[in-house]
Amino acid sequence: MTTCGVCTAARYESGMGESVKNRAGSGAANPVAALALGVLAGVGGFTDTGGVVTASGAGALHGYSLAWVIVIGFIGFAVYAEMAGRIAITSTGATWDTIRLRLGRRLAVVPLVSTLVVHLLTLVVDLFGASFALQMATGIDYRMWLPPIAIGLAVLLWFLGFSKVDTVAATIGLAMLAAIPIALALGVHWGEFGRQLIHPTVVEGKEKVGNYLFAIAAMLGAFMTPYQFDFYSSGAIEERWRGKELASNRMVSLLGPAIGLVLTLALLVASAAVFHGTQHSINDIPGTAVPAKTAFGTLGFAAFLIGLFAISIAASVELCLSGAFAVCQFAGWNWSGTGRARRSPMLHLTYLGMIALALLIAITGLDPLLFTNVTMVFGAAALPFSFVPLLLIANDRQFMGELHNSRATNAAALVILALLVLVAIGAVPLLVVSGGKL
Amino acid sequence: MASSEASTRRRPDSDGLELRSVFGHAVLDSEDRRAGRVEDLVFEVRPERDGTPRLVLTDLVGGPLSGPMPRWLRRAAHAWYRLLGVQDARPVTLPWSDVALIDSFVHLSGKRSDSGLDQVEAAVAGWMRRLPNG
Repeated sequence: MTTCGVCTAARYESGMGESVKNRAGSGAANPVAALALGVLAGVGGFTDTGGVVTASGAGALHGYSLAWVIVIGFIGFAVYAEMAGRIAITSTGATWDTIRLRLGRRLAVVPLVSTLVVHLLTLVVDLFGASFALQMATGIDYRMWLPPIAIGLAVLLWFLGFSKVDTVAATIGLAMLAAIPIALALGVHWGEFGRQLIHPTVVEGKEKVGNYLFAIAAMLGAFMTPYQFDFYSSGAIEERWRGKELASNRMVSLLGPAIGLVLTLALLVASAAVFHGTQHSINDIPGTAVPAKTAFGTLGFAAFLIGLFAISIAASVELCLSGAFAVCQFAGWNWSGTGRARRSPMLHLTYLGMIALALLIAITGLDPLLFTNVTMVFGAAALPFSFVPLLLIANDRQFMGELHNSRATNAAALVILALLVLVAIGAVPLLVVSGGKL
Repeated sequence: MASSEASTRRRPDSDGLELRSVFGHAVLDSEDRRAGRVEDLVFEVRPERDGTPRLVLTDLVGGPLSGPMPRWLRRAAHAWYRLLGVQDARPVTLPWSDVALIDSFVHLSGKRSDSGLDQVEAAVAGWMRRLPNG
């Protein structure tokens, strides 16, 4: 979620011998920088193609009755992102360094593989998002756009590096904030919205309940994708966060998702205003642009397309980086994202491989909407594999010292984890019952 | 674990060393470049003065294909490394005397290229170097 800072392969010395709170750091202690980071993170990290598709689809079919899931996703994201940042501050070792050491190679390979699979599938989803944005802008079929987008992404990362591409894409992705005026222009029934947040109404009927539960799983997966946590904590390590960045960690881990929360709720509300209660629903990814066009015509449509394209590219960059980080940290290879490729060859090889594989999957003719929904559900199902190690490490007082989890954090984290375990157990049955539709 | 060991930067004396402060840890060479992980340890049985046998850590093992893994995975990894340009990928045994320092990393006194720990990275870097901006 953070932009890639100055990466070095310098000696990161751990410091349990001194008070972690007193250690000097060089990271984003500046509140303005943290604010900017949070805004970019919220738009470019919390919201990506999966978030747009699931929020719009859920709003179209279920109205406001799934808004509470976005709030749960926000809480889950904030709790685990803060925990990941705190672990990074405590250990100053990379996330997968720590997981590998704590769990051992055999056990740590389970979260690694599940994380990589979800990263790869989510990268396919974001390639779909970017290519559909170009299809809507040009009228040329999205399949024609997949190869140039994938190759362009690889070339940009190779020549410009992660930081520049991610920062530019996330900044342009601010266009997606247009979703807020779009929702307001289409009309928000505030009373109903509040009622549905507190006491959601599930429409009766077996098929509808199955779709509703599937939508819950997909939305949780969309708002808490594993790559965001890896990216966030690796960014903290790169920027050498220390004790004094504890406040920044809390601010960024709350602010980023809070902006993403508002944005995602706006997408759901706008979609509900246009589709809910009508005969129409969102049957493909271009359908997610209809509310923008309805509210502000060509201008709204253009802002949505620019936003969708940019956040998809930003998410793709972060996915590539997170996947490459995970592999290199696990293996003990150099994972510096800056400098020429030969300085960290395995990092570059990994993301090039991810892009190539994602392109191969995307061009096989899969239904993009169905693939997105299913990927988000499996993303949620894979989250416990990432969250359990985080939770175990954050509760290890010997390792975390004074920065171990509080009871309140553990309570919130366990509730979220229990929900995700239920999703993991129910993923396949829900897929069968719902047919992969929200 | 990483942090607790790091609080005391030990001299590389294998006597009384906690194995967990070495096993699985990332290796840094003398230029602070990452060089994989310690995937296995080699011990020797040596007699004490009174003749009692004791285990002494003599070598660390790292590099490609080190550590236990199923046979199918070893074959697949071997094929993968060959594809990357490493014809004879094999684990690297590092004498304990090559260890300069242990904190949250295992620091070597020499360069990683001297020990062959970078054989895979060097092979990939070799063909990346031929590409523009590589």
